[in-house]
Amino acid sequence: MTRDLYLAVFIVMFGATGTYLMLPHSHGERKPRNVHALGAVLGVFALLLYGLYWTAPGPFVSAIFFYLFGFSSLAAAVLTVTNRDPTHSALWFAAVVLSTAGLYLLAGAQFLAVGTVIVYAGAIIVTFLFVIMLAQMEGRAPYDRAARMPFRATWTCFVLFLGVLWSIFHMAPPASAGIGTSARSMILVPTKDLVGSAKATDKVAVANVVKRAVRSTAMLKDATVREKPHVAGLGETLYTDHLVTVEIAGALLFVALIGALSIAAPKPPVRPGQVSSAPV
Amino acid sequence: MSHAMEIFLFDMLRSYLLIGAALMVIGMIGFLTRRNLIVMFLSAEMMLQGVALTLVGFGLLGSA
Repeated sequence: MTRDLYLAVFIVMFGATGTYLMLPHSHGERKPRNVHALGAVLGVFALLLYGLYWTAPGPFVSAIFFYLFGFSSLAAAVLTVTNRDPTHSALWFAAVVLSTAGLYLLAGAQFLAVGTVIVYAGAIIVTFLFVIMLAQMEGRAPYDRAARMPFRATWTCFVLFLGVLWSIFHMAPPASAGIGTSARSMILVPTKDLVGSAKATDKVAVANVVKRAVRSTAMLKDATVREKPHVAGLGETLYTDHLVTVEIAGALLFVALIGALSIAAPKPPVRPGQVSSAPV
Repeated sequence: MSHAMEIFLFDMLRSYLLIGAALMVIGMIGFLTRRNLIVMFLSAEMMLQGVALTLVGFGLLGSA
């Protein structure tokens, strides 16, 4: 615990110094190559130390993939933030998204992983690359070469990071089998026990509330107590329990589409000495 | 669920929380220091990825 905290202080110092050295200069001056290299070395060192805290999920292959995705996501994140070229930043962000999708996959969240890859790496990044390349064809803008208060921002964020690490280290592991399971069952009471454990006078009311609140579609397991397949369960609950939400989201997107069309429609150019005669 | 399994899931939750926290903090640095609006948006998305990783880690503990 105390050793963890000392190590965390070292990680924060190395990481903050490395990130600061890799960030652009605050007045947009060029930093020498050696400074960037030193920052990268410090950052890699901090990252390797940080890897000491992680626990790999089980056997050989998944452990390799866990460390690969973890290190690559954090390294690509630092490069996204510190790169002076927004195009490279967008590409490194795509690397962050792909690595986190790998981590989702290792945690058994397949749908989220695939959705993240399709939406972020597929759609958003490509749109951003188009925007950057169309808007900045003449090269890097001056505001890309300068950072806003890099020293203070880096140290503020890394002190926050130290606080978060401190609170994570304070999480107590499950003490023993008995305590762990009883604590869990205090929180997650099965619904049929909820009705059974209510007072005799409240039984009908509790049963009514449970019947309304917990629908069969919103359960993770079906009637034969097998787990539902991910996407099928998600689609079922999305189009039965949350139908109104889906419809409202669709309506919102449709209104946004109409707005985009009305903004983007080609209008005849208005020349200086001439009153526009086009119907409004 | 056995106690060993609980300890194992707890350790995995911890490593997911650690990676999520680091992503969140790096995204925050980017949001504060960069002056390009698109890169600021990317940094905000990175913070979102960190939080999503945290939620996935907690889901790991709750699902088993």
